[in-house]
Amino acid sequence: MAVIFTRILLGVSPTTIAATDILQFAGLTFNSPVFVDAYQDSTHVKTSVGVDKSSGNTPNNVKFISQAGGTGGDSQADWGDGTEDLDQITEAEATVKITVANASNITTEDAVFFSYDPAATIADPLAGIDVRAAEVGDANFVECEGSAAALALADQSTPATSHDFYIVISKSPTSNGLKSDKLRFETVVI
Amino acid sequence: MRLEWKISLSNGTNFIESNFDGEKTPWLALKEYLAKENLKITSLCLVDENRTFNLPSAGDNPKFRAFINAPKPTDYNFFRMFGSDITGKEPELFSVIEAIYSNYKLQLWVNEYNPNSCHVLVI
Repeated sequence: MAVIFTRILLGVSPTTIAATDILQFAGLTFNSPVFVDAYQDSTHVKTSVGVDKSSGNTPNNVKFISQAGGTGGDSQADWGDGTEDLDQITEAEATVKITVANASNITTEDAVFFSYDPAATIADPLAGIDVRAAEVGDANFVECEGSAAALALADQSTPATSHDFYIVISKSPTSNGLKSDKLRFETVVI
Repeated sequence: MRLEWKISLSNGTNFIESNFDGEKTPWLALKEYLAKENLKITSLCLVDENRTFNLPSAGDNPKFRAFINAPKPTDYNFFRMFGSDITGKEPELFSVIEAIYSNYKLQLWVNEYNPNSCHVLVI
């Protein structure tokens, strides 16, 4: 089996995220800082040589607003139209699309997504950063810092050669300085 | 080089993963076949051109006295586990075969991209 794994920063046009790229959560513009305890105002793909790979693609940005301030306790976020309940976001409006594909049919189960400290183990959150994520359709964000706090993604139990996961991500520094966590995806493939 | 599961069944027949290629995934197709024919898996292993990775057998004719005396699995399972950072490290894909006992499971993980690397878990 040769699973093909692709990840895309969604936007007016998609930006493929290569293994050597960085998914950057910034202030209003590329490379600009985010204030402590604020959430990012823009999302970019930065190459290994520092170029804004997504600059011509008008990438999506989904900014965390509240964990439970929306209708019926829904989380709220702003993805360009002002504050809305998280469960109103569409696949095209998500932050990233992750695809797991194979030449023959597969199903996926128990998929998870989380942030961790690359200088430690996948169980360890990176200090000084708040990372919230949700799958499109979810009502609330999950603070997915460390593998034990992973966001659980829905099973895709209909056999197919390709399975897509649409994920919303928002980040906030809780202390000064550059924060470089890793985002990880795992799934059972049958 | 392709790593595939291989099974022996309670009626004495053997199959490998590619025998079940079709619209369903091979493992799901196998499970349907077992239910339809009222058969059970008696052994499960992973194979490629050069290697065989065996789980304990539930059959009646295992090799060595230690195998006869060992507890027999009540069932078997198979899945693959895929994992990758969004950026950075290359993705990893493991084939996992599982022997199920009454109170625990024995898992054998073999790296599909490097079948010389394997792990064993008891959970």
